[in-house]
Amino acid sequence: MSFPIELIPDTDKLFYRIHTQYIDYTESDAKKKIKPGAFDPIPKPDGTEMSVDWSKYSTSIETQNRARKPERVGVVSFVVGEVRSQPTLLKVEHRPTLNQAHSIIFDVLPNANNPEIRINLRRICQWEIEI
Amino acid sequence: MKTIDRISRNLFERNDTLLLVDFEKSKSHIIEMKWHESSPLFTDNSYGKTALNYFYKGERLGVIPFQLEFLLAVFKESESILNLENDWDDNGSPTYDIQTWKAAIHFLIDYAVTLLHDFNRIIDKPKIYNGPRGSIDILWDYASYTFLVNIEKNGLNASFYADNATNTQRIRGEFTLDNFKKTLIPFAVQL
Repeated sequence: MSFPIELIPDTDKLFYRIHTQYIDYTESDAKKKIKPGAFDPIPKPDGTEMSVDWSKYSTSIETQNRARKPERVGVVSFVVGEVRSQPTLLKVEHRPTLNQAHSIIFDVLPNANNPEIRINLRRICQWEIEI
Repeated sequence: MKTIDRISRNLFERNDTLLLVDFEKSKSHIIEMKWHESSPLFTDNSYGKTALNYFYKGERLGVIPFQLEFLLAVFKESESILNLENDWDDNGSPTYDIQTWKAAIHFLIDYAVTLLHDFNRIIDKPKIYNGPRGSIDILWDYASYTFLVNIEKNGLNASFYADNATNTQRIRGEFTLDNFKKTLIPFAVQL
């Protein structure tokens, strides 16, 4: 069964898992305790992409439960409009697989390990399930 | 303790020997010191506390001027990165090569010492983190600026991004670790 590709509105959210190994527990600030490495756009031939779940078809708990070890991950969200606008300026597309919520945040310009993208994503994310 | 103006003093490393040279004297005053892990703090009666060694498993990775003593704790804390096993994130991430981590340590010492000796600035305290795909992140996350340096898995190349708190100023770049101009890299200093 294949799902149709839909347009994702700016007002919707995207859920993303953060593994406990990417948390700096010496930091008390909820945002600053997330290490930038938690945001990991994977290099592709035509850019980089990062898998997320669209809030239309997933809850934050469902996103957490898709992890191999759900007890070891938290979940943050991004507002789609903030991902698409300055200064982040990334693209968001619905790419359903067996998981209808599956979507990607992508950039057409590959950059080794993307320090800029990772800082910006860390800045605009919000905890949904904090670890 | 005798205070020596930074311009008149130089530290040189040669193998396991540290040379402390005071150019203000009529003849260069040279002290040679053999380093030992059991005595990481270099203390000399004439100069007082001068520099510290950073050792990892018996290997001396660098000499740190005492003004940058806080870096020792940063380095020690980062050693835990090397203990991460394959698949440490339950998503297939590999272990970290010691060469990549050493490259991050060497970069940070080199960068901090340059800012201290050439520009009289003490860098803010950074964090060293496990980065994506075997790379190492060095992060300064302060109220007035954010600065992230990523050391790639091979330990040969690096990239960085920095911005101010209001995001009205941004700078990014890439460099090779064995040949780069430090003045083209942002200063990790709150002014």
